[in-house]
Amino acid sequence: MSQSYRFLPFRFERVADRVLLVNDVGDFHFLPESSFDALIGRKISPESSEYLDLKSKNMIWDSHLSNVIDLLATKYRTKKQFLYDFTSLHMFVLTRRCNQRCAYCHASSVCVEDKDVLDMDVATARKCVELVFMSPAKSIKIEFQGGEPLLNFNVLKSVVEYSLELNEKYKKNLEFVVCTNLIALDEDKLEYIKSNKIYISTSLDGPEYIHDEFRKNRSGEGSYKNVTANLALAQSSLGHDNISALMTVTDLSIDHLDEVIDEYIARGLGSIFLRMLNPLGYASAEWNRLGYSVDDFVDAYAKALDKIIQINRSGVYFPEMFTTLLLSRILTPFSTGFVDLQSPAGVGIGGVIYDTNGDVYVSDEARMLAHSKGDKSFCVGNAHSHSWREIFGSERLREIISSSCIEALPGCAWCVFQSYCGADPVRNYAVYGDMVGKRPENDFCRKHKAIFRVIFEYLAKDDEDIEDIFWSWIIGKPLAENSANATQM
Amino acid sequence: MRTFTGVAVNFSYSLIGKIISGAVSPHATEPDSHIFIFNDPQSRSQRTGLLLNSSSPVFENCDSPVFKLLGENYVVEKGDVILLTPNEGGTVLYEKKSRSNAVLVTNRCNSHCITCPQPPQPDQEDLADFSSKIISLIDPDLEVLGITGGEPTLNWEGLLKVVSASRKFLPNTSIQLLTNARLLKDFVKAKELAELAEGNLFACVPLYGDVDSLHDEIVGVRGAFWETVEGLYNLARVGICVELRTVIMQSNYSRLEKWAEFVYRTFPFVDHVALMGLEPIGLAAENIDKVWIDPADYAKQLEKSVKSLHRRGMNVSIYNHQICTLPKSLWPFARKSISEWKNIYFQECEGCKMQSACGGFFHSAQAHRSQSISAFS
Ligand code: SF4
Ligand code: SF4
Ligand code: SF4
Repeated sequence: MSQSYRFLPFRFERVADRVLLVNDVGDFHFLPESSFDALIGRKISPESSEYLDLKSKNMIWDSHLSNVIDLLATKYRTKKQFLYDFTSLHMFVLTRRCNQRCAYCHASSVCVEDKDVLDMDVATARKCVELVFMSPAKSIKIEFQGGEPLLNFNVLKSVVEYSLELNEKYKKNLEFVVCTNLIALDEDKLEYIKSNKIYISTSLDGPEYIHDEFRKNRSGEGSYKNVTANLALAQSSLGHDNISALMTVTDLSIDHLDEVIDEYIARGLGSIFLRMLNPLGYASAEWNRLGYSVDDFVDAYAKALDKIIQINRSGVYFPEMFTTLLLSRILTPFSTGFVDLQSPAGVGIGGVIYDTNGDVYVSDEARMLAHSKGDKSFCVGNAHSHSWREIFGSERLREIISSSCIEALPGCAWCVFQSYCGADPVRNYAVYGDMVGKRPENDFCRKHKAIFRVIFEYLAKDDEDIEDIFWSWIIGKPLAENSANATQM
Repeated sequence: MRTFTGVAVNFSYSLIGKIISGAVSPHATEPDSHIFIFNDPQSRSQRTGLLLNSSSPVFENCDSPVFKLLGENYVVEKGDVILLTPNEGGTVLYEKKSRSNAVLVTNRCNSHCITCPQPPQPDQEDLADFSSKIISLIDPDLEVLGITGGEPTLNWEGLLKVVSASRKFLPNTSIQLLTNARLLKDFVKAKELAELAEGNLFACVPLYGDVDSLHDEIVGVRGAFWETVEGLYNLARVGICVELRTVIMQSNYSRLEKWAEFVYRTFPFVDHVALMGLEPIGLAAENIDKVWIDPADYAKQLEKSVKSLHRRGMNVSIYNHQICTLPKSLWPFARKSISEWKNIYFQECEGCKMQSACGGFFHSAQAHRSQSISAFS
């Protein structure tokens, strides 16, 4: 007999030998194939627990539709909260110079000692800071990038000081991050970083032989010794929690991620972010030497994640940060803004980058497009000549954003992972010449789809230990410390 | 509430009073320990009356109200608020040393929960005035004052009256409002309550299931689930803290884990989640065959649910459970929650070394308690 329930919108796909259902607010449910057939054929009995599960997770309804819709609307608003926050990440390119010459540098840094042309000056920095504080976001993160930002430390200081001064009035939750290779770190700089609570994000590709293969100084020597020595110095001064490192998976490390992980743990780094190399900047020219396929990356990622989970099982708290981000999207009802993967895209409205001359780009990739190809399509203004309103309210930015809602993009619109994924209109433009791009064959999509699968395979296991580990990553501390509510008897 | 018996002398009407000195127990002899004061806000006069026990000296020519206690079964202490009725005896309205004091706003309710411990009744008078009077007598160092019912929001003006009395006389006390939150689907009401309480009120709201049919069946009203959901969202919007509760019973224990996940995904803002054992009195006692389930039989579901909420960073507590019915991993979450005057232990408990940590039983558990009670030695 046909049952009288109706469907609410959900997307589905076969994952882990079952059918995965996901709705717009990210509720998900696994069904065996036969139950899925019964669901679609309206044959699930209202008394069955499957029926109640599907109802509880807002996949079907049988009464009180307007209440159900109100509930979903509230959950949807919560999920998209990052839109209310508006631009909170503000990246400053303090200089285009660098003291390293990494084979895959995305920023195509140069070594010329021509500071006048390649550094941001104080006047520009101040203009940019003024723009930053026009943002309605309650939390502001100012991230110093380069090149190597420590090479223009005076301007870094002037940004910090002017920001603190303006913040007396604006009262934002203000954070600073410096993305540095640490080579130019010295006592004075460290002292300044410490007293202004600046967070350090550095790069360490793995053990010496891996790191030094691609990260070399200008005279061609590997930087590992220098970087790790300064890392230890910074850790002892700032505390381990105030420094994290990023790694880029290279053709050399892709088969040795276990060694990279061991290196991170040995260096007292509390987490890792396994980042795929993107065909940008120098890496694009040398793709044949450095690059690898998405499939290779995802295989390596899956193996590494397995190892990381084993490590956590043994009692060492050590999250993989990209997995953690996706898990927060999948398992929590909250909004998780991440400028590189959200819908609408975070370009301009989540994060923005100020180039040395005050040009405002919607992302680092947008800036690279201008430098490498002379294409300023994603430059939305200049801090010297445009007001906040002209930049962030511009037609161009609106156009970019409205091209990046995956809810309406071909391929994404019916993808089961849509509620957790995002778009990169700049990358699409760079690869396809338009902001929409093509799915599922582009690398961005293939990579994310495959990683989502890996994660859902774990979730399908229903393994309490794995759940404990995943949740400890999301919450940001080991489960044993999450005991404010469990009193000892 | 605890009651005691006695003989009224020199008064023929009900008195509310507060014990202002000493303690009154069956064998106390110091005369000054027997004084209570009663306060009549209408006349603004304060009169002193006496509470006497059988061994107290006799007061000749005394025209103050005097109440001579009978029997052995009472202890009243300084700070307690009591009601004396000439024909019906005394009631302790507020017990200073108890951690669970509450006042009533109405006995009426808009639900008919299958497990209701205090079945709704019509009100004979406005309980809010009476409760406000009690509040005016309570020592202001009280930490938590409960407002309960019935469903307090049904007497809306009365509820506001009691909340303002609490704000006025007990400015540092937090108010614990037990409500099904259905009427709070009206945002204006939720806001009015929040403004009056100024951050000093938290709501304890029962939600018995993760789907409407299950919850509605238990509370006996179709549509109640969605009203409570709306009420919960309004409470979050106006910034009132929420403790979400469920009572574990036959019809809902198998979905407890689903309920926990639903609560986290739908109401991540709740400050506290409480999973409660059944109190076999009132309607729960009448419906016992339909609702009773031995805690030992749902230990697995309870463990999974508590762990699931805990790993999600939610504050979670187990109320009304005996330690020996719980897996050891749940002990840190078990609270001694049964009100002092209700809790008892049985002979199975003799010599149990966990007794001081254990919630024990409701008085009413004589007939229905877990088969797996056994003392820890
Ligand atoms: S990019 Fe790919 S994985 Fe992401 S939503 Fe679109 S189709 Fe799905
Ligand atoms: S338990 Fe509470 S809501 Fe339910 S009927 Fe009793 S008083 Fe009303
Ligand atoms: S035996 Fe009695 S006192 Fe001991 S844990 Fe069980 S119920 Fe509590």
